[in-house]
Amino acid sequence: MKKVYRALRYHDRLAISYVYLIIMTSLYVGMILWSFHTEYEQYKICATTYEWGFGSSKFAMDESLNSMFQAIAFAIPGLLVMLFTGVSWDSVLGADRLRGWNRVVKASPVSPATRAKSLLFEKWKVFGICAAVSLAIGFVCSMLTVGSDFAMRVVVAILVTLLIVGSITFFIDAVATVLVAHAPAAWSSGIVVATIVLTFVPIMGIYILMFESLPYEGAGIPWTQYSSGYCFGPAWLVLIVIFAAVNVFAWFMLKHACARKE
Amino acid sequence: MNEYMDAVRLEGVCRSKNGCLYDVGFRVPKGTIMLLVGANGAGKTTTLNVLAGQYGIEQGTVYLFERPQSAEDPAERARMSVVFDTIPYGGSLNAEKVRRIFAGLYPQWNDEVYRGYLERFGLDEKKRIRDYSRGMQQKLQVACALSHNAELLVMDEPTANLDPGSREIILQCLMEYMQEGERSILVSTNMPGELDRYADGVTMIHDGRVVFSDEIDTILNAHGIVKCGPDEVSELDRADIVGIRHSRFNAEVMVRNREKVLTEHGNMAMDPATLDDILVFTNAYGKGAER
Repeated sequence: MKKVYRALRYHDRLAISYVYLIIMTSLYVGMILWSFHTEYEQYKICATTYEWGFGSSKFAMDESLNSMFQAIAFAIPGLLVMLFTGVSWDSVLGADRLRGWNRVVKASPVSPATRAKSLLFEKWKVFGICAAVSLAIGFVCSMLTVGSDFAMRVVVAILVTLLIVGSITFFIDAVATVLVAHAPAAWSSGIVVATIVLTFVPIMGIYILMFESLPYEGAGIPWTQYSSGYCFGPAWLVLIVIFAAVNVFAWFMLKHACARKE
Repeated sequence: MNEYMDAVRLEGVCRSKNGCLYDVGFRVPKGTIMLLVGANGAGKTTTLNVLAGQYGIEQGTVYLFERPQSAEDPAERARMSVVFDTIPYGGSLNAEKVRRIFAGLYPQWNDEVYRGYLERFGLDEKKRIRDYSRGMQQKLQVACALSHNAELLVMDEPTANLDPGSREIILQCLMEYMQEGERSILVSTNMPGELDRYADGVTMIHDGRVVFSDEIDTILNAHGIVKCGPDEVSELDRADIVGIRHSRFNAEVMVRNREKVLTEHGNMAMDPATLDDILVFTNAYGKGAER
């Protein structure tokens, strides 16, 4: 705690992003473990053996190995989400540094359009790599878990969550980055606070809805219940609408920021 | 590259927020050093920020190398360098990382020249910028500005945080820069006495308006300090007075039309004025806004 205090006191605002990263790591890991434990306990009641693989290469798996695979299926995308958020948060808080650089770049022969594009490209480059990796992991996990309906649903759900959360986070981050770089100094704090809210609320919302929507007995919100199948239902529809709205908002702000007369 | 007479020309530049400018106009002829002087808050930094593409303007035109400046097509900016009043580079970077970024921004970036300046200024390439003193940070900015063969150097109080030795080294570098071709410098300062021996012209800004802009000798020859009794001040034409410093027994009056005053009031003692004197009388004892 002393170290955190010292970090806040003596170092630049970047230290706050590390604190945020630690909190979010604990939160995500805690949530993943808790969810896994709850869902697994529910599932264990009605099944004790598991069939993995596909086609003729299906194989039986004992409970402990299955648990490990499921844990991996939960943990990796979750950790990637955490990484996305941490990385993007770091760059939002580092926007004051970016503001300084923006002065240098504005005075250089680089055009405003190139400048905005390069900022966005940097963000999407990182996002693209992470998304591709997580897609590959999710795909492999989905293929392997044909015999395990529950695990498959979870993998698909986390994969979709990852994409949505990642997109929202990075859209908002990109917009905040561009806005902070363009906006007057007095706006910076407001933009950072807005970014916190816009990033954090959807992430929490998505997680809550996702786990509530899993079809086990006694699950929470009525309109997220399905008779069978995967996690694409009304809850996801709502999330996709939120996602679309956030993106429209983000692009509007981005357009506005870029169109501002230099 | 086009042939040009003026490296910089501002015509009727107006801006009403974040630093006001009213009908600002002056020029920096090719191959000259122009001082931009004025008190704190006079509009020097705003003017330089307009030139550096940081701020927009509401009226008027900014010409760089005789071409109207455009935010959408800033190609002309490859030919100019800017030294800001505070270092804009991230504190976690070092001089080596700054080099890589600048090399990507400016087509004529020269690594050898840059490294030469780092060595000359005693800057450690591996040390983080936040660990540099303010003077060292300023030197790093100057090193960057001088390393991409710019034809125009725009500097906002570049010697403000430097010790006398470092100041001399920077000024020497600027002189060497000027000797390498028909290059131009626009440099703002609120201590013109430090730089006037190197400069060709001076532009004074007061409350966002240009008070005068001309060659230094012309400005110095036009101004003078009349020493007279407090009662004699009223004999002077008010239009000639820049400012009046009263003391207990006499008054010092800065006049802008020295020859005329000498002709009309031959009995009054007249001392030559320096740029520092003009700045002091304009800001502390003057009525510059009336002009």
